[in-house]
Amino acid sequence: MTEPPPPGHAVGSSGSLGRSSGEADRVLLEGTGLVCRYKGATRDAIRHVSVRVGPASVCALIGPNGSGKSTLVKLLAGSLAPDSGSVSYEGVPLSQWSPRDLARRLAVVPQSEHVPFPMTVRSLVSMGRYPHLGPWRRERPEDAQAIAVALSRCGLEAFADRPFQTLSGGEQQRTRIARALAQQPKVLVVDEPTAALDMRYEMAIFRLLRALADDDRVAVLIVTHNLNLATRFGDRILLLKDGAETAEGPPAEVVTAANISRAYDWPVTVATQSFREGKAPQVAPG
Amino acid sequence: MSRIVVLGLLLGLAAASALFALGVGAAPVGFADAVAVAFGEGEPAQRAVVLGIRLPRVLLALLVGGALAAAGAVFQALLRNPLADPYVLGVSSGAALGAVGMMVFGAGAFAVGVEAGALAGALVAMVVVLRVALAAGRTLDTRVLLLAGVVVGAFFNAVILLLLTMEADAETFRSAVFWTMGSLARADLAEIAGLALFLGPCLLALGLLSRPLDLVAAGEETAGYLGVPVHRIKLAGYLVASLAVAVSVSVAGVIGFVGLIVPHAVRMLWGADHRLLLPASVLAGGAFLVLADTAARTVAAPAELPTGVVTALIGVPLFAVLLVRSSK
Repeated sequence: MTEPPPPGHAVGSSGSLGRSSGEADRVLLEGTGLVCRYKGATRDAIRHVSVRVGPASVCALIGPNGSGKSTLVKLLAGSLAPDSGSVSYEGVPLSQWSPRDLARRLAVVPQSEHVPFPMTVRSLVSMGRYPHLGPWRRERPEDAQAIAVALSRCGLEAFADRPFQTLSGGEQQRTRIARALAQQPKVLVVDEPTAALDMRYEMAIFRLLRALADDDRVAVLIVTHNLNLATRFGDRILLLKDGAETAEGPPAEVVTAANISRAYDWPVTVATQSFREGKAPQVAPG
Repeated sequence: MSRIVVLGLLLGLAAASALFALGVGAAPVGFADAVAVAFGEGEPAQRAVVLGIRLPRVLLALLVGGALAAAGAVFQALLRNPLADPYVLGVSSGAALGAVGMMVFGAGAFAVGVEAGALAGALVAMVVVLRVALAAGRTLDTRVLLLAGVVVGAFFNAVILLLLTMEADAETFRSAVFWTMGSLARADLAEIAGLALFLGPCLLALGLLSRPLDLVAAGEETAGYLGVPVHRIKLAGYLVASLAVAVSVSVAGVIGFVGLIVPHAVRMLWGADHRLLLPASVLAGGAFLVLADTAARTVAAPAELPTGVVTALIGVPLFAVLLVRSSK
């Protein structure tokens, strides 16, 4: 995988495209005043949450188990309809987008799904082209090109013809991200991509997502339990607790000892550390 | 191997097994005679055996085997379950109940009555299972559908046993058991033509679903995010595959294992891409059932074994070998 350039929020990164072009204020995917309650539940899974995701940035969604992160992802992805509030892509409500048109712009990598049949990495990644194909679904040169780029971006060239089932957890997760990249999306939503991955794979995936934002101007929304990588690679952090937005903003403002202790109901200390990506608050549980 | 090569190979296999099946049987009409008949020659008696007795069975086996294998592949993909077969959603139990009901209540004297009963039963089962599954949730939940199919099937089977124990005499009991094991002996050419006219469009429609089926099989949620209208694809797939199974079963009875084993074998050999899997399953399923049926009518001739028993006796060991080899 390629070395990522410094992220937008890092010290001295004013030259970063996302910040200098004035595009940082542009919003691609926006959820406003979202409320959602599951059938039979006694309380709302999501309570008046608003999210905005813009190009060339990484937004990290954090919060304890059951805080509503995955529900929020489903709302933003359009697979779940909010009870009130609305989600729009480029200002147009999701309900007015055809699934295919939306899938050419918005890619979602849900938490891992079991693949019950033998499929190669290449065939799974090629599924990302589905929304781009014509009625006869024949692959054109640009489809092959997009698949090749997605495979190489995720460091999967050597695995392309291997059965998905024979890959390690980290390689499987990269395959799922590659499938989303083959969609050539402007917004990429990834739900806990590093769950059950070791440190090295975790770093590789965060670096990849950061690079997608910086090099390809993709708007990345990542759900994660790794607070320290969220602060290090994210431009903005959204902290959820009990379905409500507890704090939102740059990592240094959101990830404070007070906010995190309250949200997770566990004492923590927070110290700022310097990384290649810049300074970032790091959380240590007490 | 490319798709064209695989399909060409399987087409050759289906043709070869059909030719083989035309040339063997209880009557002393061999290969050479069958070829002669095929070219419009041969004695009238030979023509009667080849065209009147063997050909309908071969054609029926090709059709039913192909339809069951394709339906099995579709069910496995939609239910995302390698254990699924064409009968897992209760269609066969409904058909069996319809057929047995006709036998028990007297219409069994007419073959058409049994077939009509079977078709009606299969359609009722289909509708009941889909209604139950749709009533349980806004969208068609695969796990609910599977449960509904199993439960409705079990209910129908219980009714069959009740009918047989309370109402049936020994002869009816025997023919009911035979029916449920499947047989290709009953078909005539007109009926086969009707079946072909129905199954052709069904198989074409399933073929049009192949790319969305790939995506759904790999994960429903992701398929939705890739722009696949998952609910509509599932509904269409279940309906068309179930209809194909319903008409096949009403003519041939419940022939097992073709729809389970053939799609698996094709996947093990050539992968899970439905653009290849579906046509390959049709050809391989047809060839397999032709051979199994030929064995059923020849190994113990002049007695005949139930075709559904032979498909299991041949299919299961063959499948076990493939399974062991592919997991090495």
